[in-house]
Amino acid sequence: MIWSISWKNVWRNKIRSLVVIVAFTFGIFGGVYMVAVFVGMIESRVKLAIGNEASHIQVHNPGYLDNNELKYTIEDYHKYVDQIEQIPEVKAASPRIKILGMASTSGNASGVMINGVEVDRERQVTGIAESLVEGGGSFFDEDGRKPIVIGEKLAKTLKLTYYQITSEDLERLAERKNLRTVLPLLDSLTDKQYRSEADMDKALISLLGKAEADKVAFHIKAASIKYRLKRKIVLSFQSLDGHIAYDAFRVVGIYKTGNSAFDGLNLFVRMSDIAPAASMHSGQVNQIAILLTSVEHDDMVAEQVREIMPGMDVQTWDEIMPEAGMYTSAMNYYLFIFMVIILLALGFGIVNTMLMAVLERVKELGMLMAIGMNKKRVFSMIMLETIFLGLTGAVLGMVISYGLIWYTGKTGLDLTSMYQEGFEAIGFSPMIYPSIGWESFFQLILLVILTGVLAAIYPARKAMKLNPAEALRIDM
Amino acid sequence: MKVIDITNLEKIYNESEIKVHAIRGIDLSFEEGEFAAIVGPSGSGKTTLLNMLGGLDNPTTGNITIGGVDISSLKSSELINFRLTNIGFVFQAYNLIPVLTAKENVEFVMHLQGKSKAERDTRTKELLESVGLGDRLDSRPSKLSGGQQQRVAVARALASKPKFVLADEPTANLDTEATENLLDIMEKLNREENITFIFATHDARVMKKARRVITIEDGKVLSDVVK
Repeated sequence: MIWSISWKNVWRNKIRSLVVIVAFTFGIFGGVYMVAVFVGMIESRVKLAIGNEASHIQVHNPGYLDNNELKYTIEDYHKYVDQIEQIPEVKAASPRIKILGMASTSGNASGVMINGVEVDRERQVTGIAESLVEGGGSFFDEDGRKPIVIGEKLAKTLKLTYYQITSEDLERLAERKNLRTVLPLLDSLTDKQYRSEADMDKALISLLGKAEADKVAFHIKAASIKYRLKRKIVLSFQSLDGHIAYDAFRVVGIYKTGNSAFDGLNLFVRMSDIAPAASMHSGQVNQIAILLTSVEHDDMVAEQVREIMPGMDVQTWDEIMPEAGMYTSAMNYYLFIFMVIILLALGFGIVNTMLMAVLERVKELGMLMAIGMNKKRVFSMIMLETIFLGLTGAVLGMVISYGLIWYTGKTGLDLTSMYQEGFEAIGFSPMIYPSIGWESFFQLILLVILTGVLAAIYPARKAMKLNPAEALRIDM
Repeated sequence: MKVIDITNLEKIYNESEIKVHAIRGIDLSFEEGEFAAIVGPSGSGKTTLLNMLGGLDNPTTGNITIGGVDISSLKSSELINFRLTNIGFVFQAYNLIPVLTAKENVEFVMHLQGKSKAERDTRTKELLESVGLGDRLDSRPSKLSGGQQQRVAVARALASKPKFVLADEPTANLDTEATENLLDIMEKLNREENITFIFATHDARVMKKARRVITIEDGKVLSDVVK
């Protein structure tokens, strides 16, 4: 009966209770959804980083980690790679020669990480081969002399891109509703070549005006960027024997992973092309990257690889990119801090509401105590009332959060047009799939109940301490 | 049989610096089945006396013995339980629980006593029928008139089968018809079921019905008349 009275009491002052419930609902929703967005971002970042950059496990000569020099090699890699690929949890392993060097074209030069790879193995380990841009060639599909695959960001730096709006580009752009009004204007730019992004921006601004150009430039540039394939890139680096080596390659592929820092640094050549120039003999590499069937096996497989390759340094993805592992655990911690702050604010709101509820019911509480309701029951009645109030809002907030997380987790939140460049600069995908773990949800429910209980104590004590004779005398 | 025995009762309130001598030595006793009114002007001490009789306030000196138990020696938690089983209250402002129906209001006390559902149901119905509200079991207080609410309050006061019922100005908010009606019901319950009623009032209509009128002034018994 106390439960039922408490629940009914919550609805005595409907508006006041609803205000608190709505505050709770939005507070919880805001906190949970924001964290879900961050968790979603991080999960996709970690996936991207494992898929394209770090793989699950990397093996190096211990010296290489201190000093990324060519001389710290793994010898006779064939035999190790074969053994590693025998482990059932290993999907594939890719040996790489890694050389820090310089890439230059007639237009510009940039510091790069040269990855000498076995093409077929590399295809199985990373997603680079699937990340080639439209009109950006292929991942070593064509035979030819010394092919090279580079990132779009590096291509821009090396002036291997230009902008030209073709009639096909216009057709593709016509599918975007928000561009319909500007499309007819673009006719005057069609088939003109712009050597750089800055030139293209200038042309768009003079044609459309600054405000309009800011809105549409991103899509137009994305559609009209063209790549100068088959151009020559000269790589220069220090070879194993200490000489400075030069070698020319032809661009056959341009990739884009969504992490522009990675794309601006890493280029891929065939191991058989780069090894002689680097004076490395066959069997020498600097790194073996290993992809597993599932991330859960990382520690177990790392242990087996250590046995296969004693003396070599074997790292799992969270050791290679400590920031990725850190993000995940930091997020749980942030969730906790966010929710504590939100709930603290909401808790004070509840204290205020319940204090009002107690003070305007002094006479009734006095009567209840007079007719024989003991202090324990009065205390629990107010406690329950407070907890019901908080829990109703919390349940609503969580239902809404869960629904929206589920929905946007399927469809994704598309921030491409607003923040693509910004997100890619820090290695995040602009397509976010919000996500939250069940344990975070349970943790939250516990936190909410705790808040309700803590917020209830003061008003409930106040009610319990009433003197029935005095309370009854109060005129209301 | 003696229900209440009051000896040498004094109550002094220490409000700020000034001491208020609310009750200055009262000796009284009530027998089972009485229908008594304590009357007196405002500030005479009748509500203070009633509060002490009801175990809501402690005497400064003196004793109140109810059914053989000296309630001035009880701890406050024991007092609450004592009130629950021994004393019924009717207040001036009815003081029903607004979120509960008439039936639930009456049932509530028995619920606190831990009575079974079946027992609660039968007694609640009986009581509400005896106060003439058998057809309003499921009405909330806000849907009842003042007189009807006070009748629910009487039914609630009787629900715990108390030794006596204390009614503090029960008719002060009621019109003549509702007052007559309420008093008739209380008198009937008093006569037929031998329930002891003690009123604090300055309502002439109550005094007329009461079979014993105790007049209090300045914290002392001025007269004690049994009709």
